Amino acid sequence: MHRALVYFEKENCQHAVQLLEVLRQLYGNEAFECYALTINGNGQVCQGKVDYVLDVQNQALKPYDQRALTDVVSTLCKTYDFDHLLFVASHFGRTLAPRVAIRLGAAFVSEITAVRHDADSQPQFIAPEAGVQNIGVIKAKAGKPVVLTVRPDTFQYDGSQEKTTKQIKLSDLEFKAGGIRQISRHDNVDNNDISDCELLISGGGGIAKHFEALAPLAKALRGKVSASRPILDRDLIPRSALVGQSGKTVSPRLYMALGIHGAIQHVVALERVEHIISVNTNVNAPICSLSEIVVHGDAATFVDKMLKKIMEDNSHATD
Amino acid sequence: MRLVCVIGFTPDKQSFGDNHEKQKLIWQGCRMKLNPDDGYALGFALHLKKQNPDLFIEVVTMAPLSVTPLVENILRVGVDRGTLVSDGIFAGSDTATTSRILGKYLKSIDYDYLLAGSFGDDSKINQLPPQVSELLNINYISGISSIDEDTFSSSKILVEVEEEKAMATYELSAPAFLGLTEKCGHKLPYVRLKDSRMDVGHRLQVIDNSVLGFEEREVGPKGSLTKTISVQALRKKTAQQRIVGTDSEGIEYVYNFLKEKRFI
Repeated sequence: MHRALVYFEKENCQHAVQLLEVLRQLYGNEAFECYALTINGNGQVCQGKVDYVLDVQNQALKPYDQRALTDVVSTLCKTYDFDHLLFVASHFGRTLAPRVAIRLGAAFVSEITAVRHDADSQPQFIAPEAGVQNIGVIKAKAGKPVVLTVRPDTFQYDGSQEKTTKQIKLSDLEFKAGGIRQISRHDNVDNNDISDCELLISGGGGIAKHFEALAPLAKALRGKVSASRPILDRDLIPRSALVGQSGKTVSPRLYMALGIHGAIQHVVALERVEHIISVNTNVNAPICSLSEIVVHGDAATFVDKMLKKIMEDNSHATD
Repeated sequence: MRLVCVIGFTPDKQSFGDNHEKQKLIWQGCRMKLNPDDGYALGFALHLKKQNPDLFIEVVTMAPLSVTPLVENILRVGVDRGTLVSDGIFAGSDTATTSRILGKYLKSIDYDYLLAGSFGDDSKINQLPPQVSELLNINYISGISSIDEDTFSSSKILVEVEEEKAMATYELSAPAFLGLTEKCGHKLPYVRLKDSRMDVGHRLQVIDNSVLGFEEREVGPKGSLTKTISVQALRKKTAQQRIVGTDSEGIEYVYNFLKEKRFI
């Protein structure tokens, strides 16, 4: 029987739940046991969803101490002989998973967005590939375990399979802590969560000089403003509003891409968008090939005219 | 004090070829560029060197020899040594194997801190710093938005990190690997015109497998545990695409679409 471990990072439990869908796709109808690893958490979110919760309670084990966490995960992997280890591609998941893979001498595939099987029923993982409008199909060579990081919000777990969850309390795991200490931590005051927004007005390098014009249009359409990397590099948005590989995966019903070229690092985060409208002076920009409507022209002009049109319509409606 | 910037080069998308029929990426002859966040790490190191000329900066990368002119330009802006880890048998290595190759070289040199960009143009680049850190048994922290420069000369430094939901300050003991973001605020300077022909050959070393001594089965495709078997277009052109202009007809079309889909 297959065995898999999902790391339920305390701050990303909701994203970790989605990883259970990855397991369903990986194993199909084959029997498997799912273990959730929680560290200094309560494991409540895993109840009824996994077979076992490995409940590690030790206040000396800090979420940022990646060397100590690597000790713990590696020990558990050796004990339970997992086939797959899954991590959310979060701030800490992105650094813990590759460390664990190196420690275990395991194959590692990062930022997967889909799973499929070849003719021999061997799993293949879909992940962004360098440079252009492409995704790579990646295969792990024979052997286990395979370590995976999964982009948040790319899989949807429907929770239809109710499981009887057993708790395994672990308090005597050995690890070596040290070399890093948290001095302070304060929550970001920026609560611009674009990941669950219905409509995003997103700007790129082509509208950088008029980026402030996006906010009124977003407001008029009851959406939020997001952006691609060139806007972040100009310090016009916080990272929380960045769409793409180094930012967020989004799933709005409508994504309006204004002056966005559409490099793979950006469009990989748009796979679950329902409608894309792009406005670009170059109709051959990669984003245009993904768009339902392409507006050929200057993005700032479009924003100005569209906003006027909406305002006019609103004023007629109130007359 | 010695800083080592571990940098990566990615294909420049303007010159990068792909063959969708054969489902292969065409790397041969494609122009490479420095991973943008690695440029910020280098920019920060050079900023520190301005204040402390005794600081020694080495840049280390694993890449084909074709990136030599790019590394030479990095030396021309003030980096003390460039190390290009390159050998035909390394070609085709996955990121874990690349980390092992670089890790072997890094184990052989002295450093106080390793620096790199936090994010890569290519997600595979992001894996490298944590994997190298594991091999060197040192801490790695990514997302660093600022570093307390006063602490740089001591054995422990303070860094501010932008996490998903919080800003946090950490104290790290040297040696450590630091992943910087654009927020650190120091871009890699351009080469000055007067320095553009500066001979920097004596500061550039190429490390090949005769130095590192890997067996053929340990590196390249044979030594890699993952394999990219094909590349495919992310999403096909949508069947019902409509191209309009920014004239009144185009605006009307988009407006009606928004209304039809109940966004207005």
